[in-house]
Amino acid sequence: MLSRRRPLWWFMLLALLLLLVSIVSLVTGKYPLSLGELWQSLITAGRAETNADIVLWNLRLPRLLAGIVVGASLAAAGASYQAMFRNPLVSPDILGVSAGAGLGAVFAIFLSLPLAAVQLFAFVGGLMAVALVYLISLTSRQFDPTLVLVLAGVAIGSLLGAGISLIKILADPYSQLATITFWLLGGLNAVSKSELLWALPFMLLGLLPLILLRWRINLLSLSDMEAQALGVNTGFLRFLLIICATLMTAAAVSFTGIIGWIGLVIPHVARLLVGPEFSRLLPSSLLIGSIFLVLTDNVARNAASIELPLGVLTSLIGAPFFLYLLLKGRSHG
Amino acid sequence: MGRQVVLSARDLRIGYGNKTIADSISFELEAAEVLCLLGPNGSGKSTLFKTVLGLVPALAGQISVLNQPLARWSRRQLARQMAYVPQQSASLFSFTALDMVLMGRSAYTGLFSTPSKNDKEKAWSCLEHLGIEHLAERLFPQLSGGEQQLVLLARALAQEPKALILDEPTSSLDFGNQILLIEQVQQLKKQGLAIFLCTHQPEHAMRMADKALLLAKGKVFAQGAVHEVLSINNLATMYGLSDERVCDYLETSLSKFQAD
Repeated sequence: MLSRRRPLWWFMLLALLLLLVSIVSLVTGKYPLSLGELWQSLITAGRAETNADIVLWNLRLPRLLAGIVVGASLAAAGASYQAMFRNPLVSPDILGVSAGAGLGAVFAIFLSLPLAAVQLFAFVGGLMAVALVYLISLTSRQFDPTLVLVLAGVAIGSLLGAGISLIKILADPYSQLATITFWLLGGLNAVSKSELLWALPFMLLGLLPLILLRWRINLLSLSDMEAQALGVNTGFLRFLLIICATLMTAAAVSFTGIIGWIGLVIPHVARLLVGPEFSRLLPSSLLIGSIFLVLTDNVARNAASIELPLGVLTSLIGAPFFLYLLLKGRSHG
Repeated sequence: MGRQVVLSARDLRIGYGNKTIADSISFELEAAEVLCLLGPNGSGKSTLFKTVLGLVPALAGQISVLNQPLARWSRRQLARQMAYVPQQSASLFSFTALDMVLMGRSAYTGLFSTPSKNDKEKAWSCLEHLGIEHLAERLFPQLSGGEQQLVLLARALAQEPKALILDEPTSSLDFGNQILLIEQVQQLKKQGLAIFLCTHQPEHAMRMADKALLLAKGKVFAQGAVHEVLSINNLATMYGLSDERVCDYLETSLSKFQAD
């Protein structure tokens, strides 16, 4: 029987599932490919420049890869935030990171800045949002810090949302507004190879410390007093992790827009499978995040004659699932 | 066996910022010795523990661990000498008991590494030492209060410390588990650990401790050998009761039991 004591089986099963979902995602679409065509194009690296090669190498593969890394990044960031803030209810969305990164990115688009600047603005915006929310939760002594963290995140997120709306009003309705609105819906349809190659290093840069610190992160789930008495420098560790998780979120948001709920829901699912121990939780969160986003993107591409916005779909799935978790009372996973 | 002072404080003033909670605290704790801290609620017991653990800075005076000033110890090195057992652990996530005990090995694992085979064996032997190896795969939040306390004690032992600090170890336990825990403390003392604990129950202090330190109204009210310090008169004055009421309570609570 698969259980949290056998995490390796889960990892293998999830990796297999990701492979399967990826193949489906490569062959389906407006221009369906056969498995033979897929294989042919993959082994020739698309040099024949047939229609299949062009569709695969210019559209589907970049999009698939983007889905994999963005899903993994958002899920890993969510799992980290939840562990380091000792709070299963937080995520990049709830902490205001997504909205902060969104505001930063929208502002950069408004100023017609290049992609690098959009990324930088997204990162700074996300970092400022999470720093503000965390400081408020540390300062407030009146309420339960867990609650304050969530409520402050909601308030700051709403404030940043107002900022985004303001920029939309000010933006040029014929060029910028369309870009901003489309971008805010969140999706992988506009992803290009160059954008992906830009964002990828930042995501990996954020992920690397999480992988290295995968066991030590567990100690942040204890009270700070316990963790410090166990010999851990909690302040430094938490600071480093906030930077990493925010970098991953901002890098993802900067080229796909705001795709909600993944960071909140996926770590819960992963905990149900392998438990909260982070060196097991991280790989399963990465894999499930990828599977979920690639799968949802397939639905977005193929379910209707027009492409559905991905951010809308993840909310449609994520929000009810989260409510189900709340009612079932298994959020402690 | 030579006497080894594991933990000592001299003229210590504790508190937060410019708010002093207690002043002029001095004590020495040797290996294989139990020091019990007693005092009314709010007398500064928790603050004293936090200060001794280096989590809150001392406002004045000096704390030494193994004759080295506390400030000279790195957090990691200190965790190998001194372990802390909280009243309860507030983790929201369902770690297994073994995962919890393994966290006691963090002062021995590198920043980037996971626990080694040796660490796992150590954690396992700490569980065995307390006779709770059957709890290893159980989820910590689902354990009873007494079982949780023992797991936290096992985690502290996994640090292989010379001194143990226990914050009200018996307070959340039922009668049977209280007795078990008191016996454990006596065992650990015999094995050479220096133990600093606090409790609200004088009879537990009597059983476990060699020395007692009474903290009240911002200063050390009395300290010394436990049966001298824990006099009816001292207890009555410290808690603001009359001698008769304390005497009455302690006598009747025992004399009402009948041995068969």
